[in-house]
Amino acid sequence: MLNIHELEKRWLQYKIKSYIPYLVLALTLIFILTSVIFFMNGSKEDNNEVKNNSVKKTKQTSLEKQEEKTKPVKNAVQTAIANKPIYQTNEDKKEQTTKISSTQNHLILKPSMEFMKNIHTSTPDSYHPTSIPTKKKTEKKVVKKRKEVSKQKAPQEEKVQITIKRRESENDIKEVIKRFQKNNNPALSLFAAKKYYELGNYKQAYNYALVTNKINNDIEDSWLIFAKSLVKLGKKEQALKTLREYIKYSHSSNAQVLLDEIQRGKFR
Amino acid sequence: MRYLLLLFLVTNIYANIKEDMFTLYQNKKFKEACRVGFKHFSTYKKDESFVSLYGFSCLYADYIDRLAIPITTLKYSKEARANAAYFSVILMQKKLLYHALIDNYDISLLKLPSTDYVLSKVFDFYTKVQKQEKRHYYIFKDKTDPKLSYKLYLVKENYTAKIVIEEFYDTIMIKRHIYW
Repeated sequence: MLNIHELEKRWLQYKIKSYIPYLVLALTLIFILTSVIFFMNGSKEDNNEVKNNSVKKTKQTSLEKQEEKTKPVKNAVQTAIANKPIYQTNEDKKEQTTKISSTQNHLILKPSMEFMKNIHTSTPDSYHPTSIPTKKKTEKKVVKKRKEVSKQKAPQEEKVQITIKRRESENDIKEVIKRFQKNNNPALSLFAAKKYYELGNYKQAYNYALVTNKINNDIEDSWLIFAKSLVKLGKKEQALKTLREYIKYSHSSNAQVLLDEIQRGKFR
Repeated sequence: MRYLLLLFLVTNIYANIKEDMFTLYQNKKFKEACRVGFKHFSTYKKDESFVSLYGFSCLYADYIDRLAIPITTLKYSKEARANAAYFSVILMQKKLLYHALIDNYDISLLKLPSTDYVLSKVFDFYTKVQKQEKRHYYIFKDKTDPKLSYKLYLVKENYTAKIVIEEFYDTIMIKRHIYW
């Protein structure tokens, strides 16, 4: 005789085992879905609020519907409000978030400069940031030279966009220097010194700070740039000496701070 | 053979013009680049890189009204559409600022997208000015660089009012933009 109980047990085990993969799949799906919902919505509080609002509004709708039966005159307006309570809350939330995002993070459009690469690759010419030709004749010569350079250094072409900004500020400085050469205004030379310092051209920064000091030795910023440039150029002792002299003369607190920083090695 | 030669010549001339424009642009000669682009625009209006280059040259030369045509022609690639949107925002802001400054039109409630262009920055500052605070000139300080500031005012030249935006670094005027 067959042991039916034993067979039934085994059949049940087999049946349960056959359902296991489906169960696992379903559980993982549920887990993924809940995690996605959790991360998408951000916080549960908002969801609860929305749910509460929707529940409240649905309750209101039921009340309103009851009223509708009694007051047919109010019907149109109330149903118009009552018909879309959940959508309204969601839309309101969306509007609020967009308002917040627009006020906090103002949308800033940025141009796409990818076309520059296309032009750059389609034309044999390449741009080199080191020299800015002033006359047409010199331009042509420079262009020819650049052609040769570009043939040798083809993979460096992608750097075009980065160089634009630097040239822009360099151009600004050149304009300012032109004006300085005309009127010898120390404010202009100081501007040039500061800009050159920001660009990392410490030699020029030093030169223009020196020129500014010669014209007017009472400008604190100029002395500071002068000393900073000296430090950057590796002439720390000279910078310290200059600052000490200037502090003796002007009692400048900013110069004193800079002097301390240089001595402590905070400013390098 | 004759046609091939002609084709070669045409492509060569085309490349030269684009190349010239690009060199001018790189050398910051925006006015010349814009002028060259304007001259040859009808021939190369289907080339979006050319139109974009023309647009940026005119933008940096402060010829903002010339952006109207690139705005309409730049539409076939994602990049071109981004540039068209960029140009159109600047053009719109210029027109609105002009209207607001001359006719005292209230633009304080407007919330437009902004750009990194100087006119957009000034437009954003101006929209925050209350209507009661109207003045002969406005000075705005840059948010990122405290030493940078912008002066906005109107001038009248040959019966036309012009917007003037001056960029200052500390107390030194570094650039002047005139729009009308």
